[in-house]
Amino acid sequence: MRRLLPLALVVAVVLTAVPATAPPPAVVGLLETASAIDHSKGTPGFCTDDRGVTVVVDFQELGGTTIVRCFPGATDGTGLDALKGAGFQIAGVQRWGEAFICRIENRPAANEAVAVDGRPDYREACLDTPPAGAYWSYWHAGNNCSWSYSQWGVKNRSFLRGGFEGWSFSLNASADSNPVPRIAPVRPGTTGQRCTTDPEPPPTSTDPAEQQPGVDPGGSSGAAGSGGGFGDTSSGAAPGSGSGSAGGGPGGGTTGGSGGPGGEADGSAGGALPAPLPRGQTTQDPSDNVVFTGGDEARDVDDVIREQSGASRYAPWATAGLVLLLLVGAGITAARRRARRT
Amino acid sequence: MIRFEHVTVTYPRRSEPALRDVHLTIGEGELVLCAGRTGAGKSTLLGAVNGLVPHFTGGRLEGRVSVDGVATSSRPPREFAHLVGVVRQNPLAGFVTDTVEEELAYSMEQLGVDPQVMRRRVEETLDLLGIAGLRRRALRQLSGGQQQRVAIGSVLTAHPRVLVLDEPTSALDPTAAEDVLATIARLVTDLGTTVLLAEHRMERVVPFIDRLLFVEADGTVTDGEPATQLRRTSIAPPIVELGRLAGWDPLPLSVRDARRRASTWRDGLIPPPPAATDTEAPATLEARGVVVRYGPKVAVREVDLTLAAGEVTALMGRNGSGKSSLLWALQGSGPRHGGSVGAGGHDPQRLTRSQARRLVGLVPQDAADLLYLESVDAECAAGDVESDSPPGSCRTLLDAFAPGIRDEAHPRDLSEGQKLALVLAVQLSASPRVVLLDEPTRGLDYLAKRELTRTVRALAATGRSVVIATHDVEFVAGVADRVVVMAEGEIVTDAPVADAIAGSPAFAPQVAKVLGSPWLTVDQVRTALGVA
Amino acid sequence: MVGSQLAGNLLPRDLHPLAWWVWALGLAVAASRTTNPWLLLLVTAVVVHVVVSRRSDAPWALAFRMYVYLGLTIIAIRVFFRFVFGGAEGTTIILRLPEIPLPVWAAGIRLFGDVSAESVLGGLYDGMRLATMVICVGAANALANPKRLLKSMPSALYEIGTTVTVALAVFPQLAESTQRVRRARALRGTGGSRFEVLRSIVVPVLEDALDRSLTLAASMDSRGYGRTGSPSRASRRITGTLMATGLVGVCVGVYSTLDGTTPALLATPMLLAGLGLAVAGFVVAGRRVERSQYRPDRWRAAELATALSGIAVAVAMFRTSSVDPTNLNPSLTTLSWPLLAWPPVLAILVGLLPAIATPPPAPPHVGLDDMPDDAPIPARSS
Repeated sequence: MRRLLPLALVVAVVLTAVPATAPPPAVVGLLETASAIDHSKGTPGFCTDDRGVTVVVDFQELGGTTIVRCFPGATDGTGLDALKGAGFQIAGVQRWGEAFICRIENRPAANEAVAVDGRPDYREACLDTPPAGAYWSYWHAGNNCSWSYSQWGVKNRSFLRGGFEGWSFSLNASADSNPVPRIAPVRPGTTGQRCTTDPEPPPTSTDPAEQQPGVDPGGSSGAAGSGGGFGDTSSGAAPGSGSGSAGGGPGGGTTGGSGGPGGEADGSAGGALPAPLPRGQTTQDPSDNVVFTGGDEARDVDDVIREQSGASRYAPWATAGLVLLLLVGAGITAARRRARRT
Repeated sequence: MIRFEHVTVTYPRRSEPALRDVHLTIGEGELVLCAGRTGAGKSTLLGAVNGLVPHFTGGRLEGRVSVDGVATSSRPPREFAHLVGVVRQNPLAGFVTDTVEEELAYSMEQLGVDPQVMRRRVEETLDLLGIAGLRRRALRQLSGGQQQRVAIGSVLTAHPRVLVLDEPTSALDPTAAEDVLATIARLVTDLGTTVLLAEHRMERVVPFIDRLLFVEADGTVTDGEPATQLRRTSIAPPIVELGRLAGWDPLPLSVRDARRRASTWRDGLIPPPPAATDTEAPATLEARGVVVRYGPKVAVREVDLTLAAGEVTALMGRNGSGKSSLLWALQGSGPRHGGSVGAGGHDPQRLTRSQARRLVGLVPQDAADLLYLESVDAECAAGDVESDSPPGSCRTLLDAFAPGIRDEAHPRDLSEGQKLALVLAVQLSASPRVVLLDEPTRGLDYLAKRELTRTVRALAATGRSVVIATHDVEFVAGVADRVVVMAEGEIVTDAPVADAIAGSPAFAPQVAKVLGSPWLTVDQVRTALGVA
Repeated sequence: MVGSQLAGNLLPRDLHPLAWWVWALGLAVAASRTTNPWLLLLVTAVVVHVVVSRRSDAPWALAFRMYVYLGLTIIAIRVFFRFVFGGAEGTTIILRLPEIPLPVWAAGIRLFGDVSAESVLGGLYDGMRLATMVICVGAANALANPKRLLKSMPSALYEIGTTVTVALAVFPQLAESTQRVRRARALRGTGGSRFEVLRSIVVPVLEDALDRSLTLAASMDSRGYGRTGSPSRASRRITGTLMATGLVGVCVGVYSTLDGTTPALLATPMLLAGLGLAVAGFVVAGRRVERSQYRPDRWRAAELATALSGIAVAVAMFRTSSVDPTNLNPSLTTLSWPLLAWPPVLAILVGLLPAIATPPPAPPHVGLDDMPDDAPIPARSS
């Protein structure tokens, strides 16, 4: 009689579970472009004034529409605050927490196969730092400045007010070829203006807790050419070292489009060679932006995850009930045996 | 079966050999008792039979020892496991496994016996020793007698031709000891096993033995019939001493024989006057309603006890009746859950340990637990310091109890009697008025017991009260004035010694069994006869 | 026919210890793959149920609750450390404690400060996983007599098994000896420096232990322990090499299997190769031994069922990890109830099989004396 109790439990569970079990999701590539925004935070689209910071998330080869959202009224904070404040849902790695961003908007999902070189069926479990061939690269730019690959980790630097924070998924890219976000860092209505932000100095040590020295987002000198040390972006830890500045990634990518200082004329000096473009000025044309959305029509990321993983709403309740039943059964058996012994 | 040919055994770093030129033969199926003073060499003789001496203990063996034609020099002791089975004093220390059944099978496993045969032999041995109901019991839970029977069984399953037992009953109470010895006697008669036995309490075994080996102090061994041997040995059971005194020939070996001889001789003896009980002596310790419990088990149940100065009290009772617990509670170092104890006007439990030992001194069962220094001298010096007594007082006491102990001797190298004397000296250097001794006679031979009797009587003469917890009836008959018997935590009898033990079948000493009450010891008879 | 065979199969007896250990280790390996608290709770409940229904009444079996207490302690310590050292990893702050500033050389450590629910939960999940593994090992200890496990080891390891058995018996003896000596120490008064007091306890205990061990050695020697012939030098060398390389292979294989990030070549192939070498080493070493075993534990259908159920749970957890990784390692950045799918739950329930498919444990102290007087005396089988 006692022996039949667990057997009955197993049978009952199996009978109720069969209809309720979601079919295991298909594994390869087949994925909804799920984006799930926290609508209580941030506003869709670019920021309209120089208060607040715009966050650009470009999925690149993962597939999916680029999302641009604004974190309005932000005064000060780290890159992580900007990302969260704009309403994006993120996941860090289990080992380092949110110091290393592993998923944005549940991409790459836990059951999504990412075609890394040498591991075509790679799935990101977010337990340890993602590999150098498939990770979210972290960029930033002042308004009208060109995207620069961040030397600092997402928790170690403050965002630029009125500026841009960029996230671009780097798949099988080398140290020099990390993909730039395909949205020009130009606020609507400010096209053609000067880039007035000083480039930020790189880290001076390998201490993971080191914070970026305070940057005055207003820009101290009008001439953008005063920046130094900018092009030297070759240092930076590889993802495997797991330091706090892990957002720096393997090597620094040079900024896109910083070439051509002699390219465009500025028309001020008549007849002479045109003045060189100030250093750091973006060369991306806003009209070349890829299609983006503000993330308005998004589902809750928890629902998406639950669907993808085949989780059931009833399984936790059933498990709690099973646990209770087993422990009560154990208690009864123990009492009976004690009674029989004495 | 066993042959010793001119065997001399010398241990390392000793000048004198332990055994000297031993030459004897033990035939098949004989029950042989090996007797001698403690430390004389009985253990060496027994150990040489299966080769433990010298393979395991070290030393040099000259001559040849052979069992069933096989010399012990040719093989290590483990190759003799099917020929010789050895049972020692402390069975629990020799157990390898957890349960009775596995212990019985262990020897056969090592010998590679077939599993079917193993099962049959285990069943047979369980029946032979009467322990079939214990087969799955844990060894630690058995009583002393049961453990000793299991130890015998565990060597019997290998069907050895020879059984060697080194003081098998010394840790047992009288009933259990009778049990084990009866089993051994039956083995000899039923199975024809050759048994070589060393035992201090010779009185139990002497009726059954075929031959007696006596190990002298210089290491030589004399061999002969029990009756002829006992005529001249220095140690002998009370019946034999009585026989020697009365001049009976041949010497009686059992109570039955002695009674037959004594029936007419007894009438010629003038009974001694009854011992004068000194009712004026002050009470040195008063205990009222003492309760000691270990969880649900009550070890001492509301015991009242009063000790008078100059009185020696014997505390008797079977193992587990609460004797030790009572003694520890009286001293104050053991748990006491109820009642009151007053010694010298104070309750020893409330005082510090140093103060308590000046009122009540206790020598525990394992006396060697108190010794931790490297030389006798150091122990005595430490004892003087602990007792705040003038230096040298402990040494003086020790010399009075056991003369001839060297200063630099290591306490663990001393004999049992000497260790007991040392611990007694250390405890007495605090000059307590009450002295408690817990099982002091374990491992002592007759002469050592006589020394202890003399010591205790001297202590009592100085006005102290002495309580001795013991099983040894002969010793009690010689030393005690009063006997208290405990059972299940309560006092069953509290009477002068003559009344308490003379008539009881379990507790009566041999002299009382032969001559009847009021005779208790051979010394009394000797005094009555006027012989010095 | 089949019914009577089944009934015979389910007579009360103790299972082979290896079956219980394989089952328990399978569940422990399964628990090590996940930090989902639902799954860990279920594993613990399954283990507790099986232990309570199948353990015997021997004293070693009743120590299971010690392992449960140990598990709870582990969880408490982990959570406490997260309170003290864990950073505010998440956004849900549950407690604001003042932060204690540390000197510059300890700059990487953070004492107190804000405590977030995510970091506390992280500590809780981690602690639960470790506690579950500890409870699984405790279950194996409670269900299978450890000494019988040592007996069933291959004959090459017999000496090691005996050493461990004897060593295990030393501790209760030492404890009892120390108690006795401490009691006796009180009889000599309470004076003396601490060194003196310590010495007066340690020396007699050690001397006692030495005496007992010598007595035990003499007893074992007299009863024939170590009687087997000694093998030649060449065969000893072969055995040693085989066993050493085998064990190294097993270690590497086990580590690679349990750690998800090592290449697959090191995991299963190494494990199997190492096991194979080790088994070959045992066989070679055990060939010369002439020992027999009294009433050896038999490996029957119930043992097979138990062992297979443990292995099935472990394998199932490995397989589902490739499908439902979020369930196995619930995300801590979005604070919500951990998700759960049915496949891992069903897989763990398979571990309940020993509670039904195995015979109840043998009752203690069965002997002729315990039988009523009018029962017929059973014929003795020889």
